[in-house]
Amino acid sequence: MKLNYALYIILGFALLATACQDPFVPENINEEPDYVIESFVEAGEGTMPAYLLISQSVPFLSEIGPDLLFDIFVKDAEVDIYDGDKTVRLTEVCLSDLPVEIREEFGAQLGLDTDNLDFDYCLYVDILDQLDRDFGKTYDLRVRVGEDEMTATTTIPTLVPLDSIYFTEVPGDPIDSLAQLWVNIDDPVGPNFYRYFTDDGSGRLVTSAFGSVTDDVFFDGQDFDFPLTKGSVRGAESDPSTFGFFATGDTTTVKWCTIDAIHYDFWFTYEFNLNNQGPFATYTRVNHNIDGALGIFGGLAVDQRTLLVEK
Amino acid sequence: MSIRLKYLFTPFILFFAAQILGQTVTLSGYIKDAANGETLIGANIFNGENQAEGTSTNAYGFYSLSLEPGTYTIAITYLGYNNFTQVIDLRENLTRDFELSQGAVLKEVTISAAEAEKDANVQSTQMGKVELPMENIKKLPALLGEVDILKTLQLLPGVASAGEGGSGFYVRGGGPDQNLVLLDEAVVYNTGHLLGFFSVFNADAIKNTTLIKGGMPARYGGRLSSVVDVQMSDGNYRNYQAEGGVGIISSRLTVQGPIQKDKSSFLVSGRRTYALDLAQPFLEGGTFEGTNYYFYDFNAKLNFKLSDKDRIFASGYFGRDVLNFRQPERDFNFDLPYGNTTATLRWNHLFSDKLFMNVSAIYNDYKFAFTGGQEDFVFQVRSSVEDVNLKVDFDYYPNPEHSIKYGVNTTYHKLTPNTASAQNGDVSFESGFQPKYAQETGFYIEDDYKLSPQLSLNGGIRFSIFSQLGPFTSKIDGQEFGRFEAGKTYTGFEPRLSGKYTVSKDMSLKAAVTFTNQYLHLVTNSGSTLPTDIWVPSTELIEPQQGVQYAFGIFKNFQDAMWETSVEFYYKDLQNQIDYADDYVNDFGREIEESFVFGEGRAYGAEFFLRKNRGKLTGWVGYTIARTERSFPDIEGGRWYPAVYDRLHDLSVVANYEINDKLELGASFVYGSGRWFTPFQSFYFIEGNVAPEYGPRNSAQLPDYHRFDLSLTYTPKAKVDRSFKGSWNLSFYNIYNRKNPYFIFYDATINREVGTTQLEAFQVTIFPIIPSISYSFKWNQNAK
Repeated sequence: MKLNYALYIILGFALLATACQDPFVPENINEEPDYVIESFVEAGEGTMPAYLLISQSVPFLSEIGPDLLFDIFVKDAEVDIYDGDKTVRLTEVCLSDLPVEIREEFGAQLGLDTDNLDFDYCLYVDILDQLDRDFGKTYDLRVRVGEDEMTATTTIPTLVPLDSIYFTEVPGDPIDSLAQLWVNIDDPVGPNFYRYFTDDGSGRLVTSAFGSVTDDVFFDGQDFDFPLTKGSVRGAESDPSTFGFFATGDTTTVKWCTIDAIHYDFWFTYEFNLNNQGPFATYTRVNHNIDGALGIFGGLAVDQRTLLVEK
Repeated sequence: MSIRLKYLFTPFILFFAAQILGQTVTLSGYIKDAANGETLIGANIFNGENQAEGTSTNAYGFYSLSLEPGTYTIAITYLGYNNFTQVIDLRENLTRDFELSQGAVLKEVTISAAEAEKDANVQSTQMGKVELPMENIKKLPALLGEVDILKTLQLLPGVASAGEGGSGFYVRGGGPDQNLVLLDEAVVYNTGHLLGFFSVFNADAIKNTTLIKGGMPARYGGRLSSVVDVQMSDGNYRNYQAEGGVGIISSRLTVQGPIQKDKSSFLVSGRRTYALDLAQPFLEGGTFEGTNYYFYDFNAKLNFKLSDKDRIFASGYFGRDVLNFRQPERDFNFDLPYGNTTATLRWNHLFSDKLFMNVSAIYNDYKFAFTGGQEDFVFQVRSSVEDVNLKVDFDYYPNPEHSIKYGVNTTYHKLTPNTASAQNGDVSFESGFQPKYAQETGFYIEDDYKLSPQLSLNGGIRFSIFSQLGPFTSKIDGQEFGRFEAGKTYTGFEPRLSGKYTVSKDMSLKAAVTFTNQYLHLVTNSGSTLPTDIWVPSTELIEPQQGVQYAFGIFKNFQDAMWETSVEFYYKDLQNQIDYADDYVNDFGREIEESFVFGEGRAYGAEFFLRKNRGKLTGWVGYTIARTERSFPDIEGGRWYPAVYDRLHDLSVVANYEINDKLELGASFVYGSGRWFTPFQSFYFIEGNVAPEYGPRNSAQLPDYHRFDLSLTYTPKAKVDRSFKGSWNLSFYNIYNRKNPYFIFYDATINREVGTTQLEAFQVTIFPIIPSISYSFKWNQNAK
């Protein structure tokens, strides 16, 4: 828990009925748009081929519609990933080009509800799954858009798998229809970094609003049980009394990933940046790991399980 | 012991002996308030026929005035008190205590000089020093009726408010950690209650506040920018007395009186908020039943006059903010207590009528704790600063031309950074960060030397030593240091020099150069004083901050000092400044110093001051035009950017108008350039979320800040019992309801189905117009 939350509670008491907010129009200081890359190479059972999304940052606008959203995706890029033995060029595909079953599966992995999507997502995919995706390997990314070139490197670390997954009663007053998810890992000695996703109830794998990454500073080398909060789409309405719990009787998926330090640092600063606004905030620049662009090129060692929610 | 101490400092005295030996006799003693026997700090005592032959009482009310043998009309003046004169035949050394009674000039409110003190601003060698007696502070408009000395300081030129409604302040471009705030000589590390909206100083328990913003004398050290020296009342030596008040958010009560009349006294004072206590019935049965927040202060002081030469003072402060958060339905709760403790034991001893000694033993701490959890999971974060401080100060008054102070001060620091621990069932873990220990010692000597009727100098030097003490393991070479073993040691010579040239009786020119070192650091980007603020010591990785300030001023009074004016210019050069790195994340797994970057700073400006001291209408106008910049090699390649403390324009207008004997009007208007912040430059999408990309650091400004406050104080005449006096105060904060932005935030609403994203930015205003009413009373046993 960030201590700032506690400070906001105090502030809430202080300003019980006095605070108000008004629109603020910032000076438009946007310069040239930046390229934004999210690209991942996964290893583990049932994982996706390597893929990359490339878009551009946008200035402060009151509303970004489907047209602009579609336009910010960069087309005709050359995307190459080198796995130590060979270089694989990723193919540009749009979701609308894919067969329905693949599109739904791919969309779910990307956290998209493809049935209700009114615009087309285009991305670059190792469509023939040629990359050697394995634990302990290093990958180099090179992206070219016209004269612009972007590069990055990542590794897929050794997987630290989930030893067990189980559900318990929710804390506080019991609720029959809900359960708390727990996992156990045997954390190896030395710094390790983790990221996780869960099914949000609709089949999409999404991260938790409380943060998706952790290091092992507090449990280095220990056999450790800890609760995981159910993932949810950021900004979606939620009930604080049931937030983060799983519906009993449902089938859910947990995607547990071991990542390297640079990859962790990106998400750690990114999520801190997203959550860190207000009078007590210190602005935080995200530690992007791509030379020439914003974003992340990350490797993930994945342990993905699907199970029934039962206490 | 005392004799040895005397000789220990003989070499310092001999240094000045050649100039100061002469055929003089000495008049010495204490100057007190006739009503309660409390000593008066900074009272002027002088030869009535030659004001240049004079001195003022020290922090304990002691004076020593050496003159050639003769008959003198001794005059004593003090703000808010009747003038005192007495013819004294001074043929041999004479000890004499004087008592002043409060006079009609007290009604000339605000920070005004009494008529008898006219031209003190011109005549004093000290630059940038302001004394604030509490009686004056209490009559200014106050947020929610809570009188606050730190907010009053913000109305002075060169002092900028750190944030809306807050008690934090920046002095001449210095950071909030660069102000040395003392309560009875004990350092107060966190001066704010309720996120800094209120200061920890309960006005009823405070006697005097001194701000020094330039030309810091050598007896003060450890901070670059300013000294705020707050002294608690001693307690009434003559009569029992009670005063207090009831306000919207808190009530307070102070009781004081003699233990043995004229020999010993006590004071106890308390304040507590209760707004959320009153709301408890409404929380019953709800989601947050049991949740509460409050703060309280407790001050106490005892004084004993052991003999004509010995006095002992024991004083202390204990204050806490307490947040108890409860969510019983989910078995989630946390407690967040934090606050300061200070304890000061002082012994005043007179070796002779020319040599005064004070020995102080001081303990102070600031502690913060967060303990929360859910069912078996418990999480705790602790941080603290603890000091044990011993100091010996000597005041030596060889003749009217010299006033010499020298002494030594050593402090043992223990600083616990954010140490986190957690427990889940049988498994427990800790962040493992160890407290940091350090020893800080300063030797100083200073002399206020009147070279001629026109020219006087205050010169001094401070030598400081700071050692990082064990146990710790070097992060550079892995060397281990045992308990109390010194690791990295820093030393510094800090010369201080200020001078005054008197052009005429009502006009002078002053200049000062001040070198300062600072060994403890607090990095915060917030406009508030936060309970989570972490102080860190200089270590092998963090070098001391260093500063040098050059100041020059012109002081001129008009119409027999009814109008007081001054213009002061300053330039500050700051080295080893500290800020957070661009990618700073509040992370309990990482020591905070790993997030620091180091650079330099500069600040320069001009301060204009106009004050009206007498008449029904009194008050002042202060205006500052200034720049404050920072440069860090690790931030944008060392680009100079405006510090968050930068205020190009800062204007304060303060007025009090005495409508009649019962009604008094107080008003203040403040205007300041908007605070700098780092704006978002563009937005981008990652995993379908919208994230901001920030522009250059501090490259945008909030809209300018301005506000007008008004207060009306009604003090009815007591008809029957004149020992009891009550007054009502009606205050309006921000009377024209200016929507000053407290902070900016953005909000992105993503409709994933339709594919639209709504981006909006908002400014949050926290204090619209806020009326408040409070009632204050004072009962004095013998005030008939």
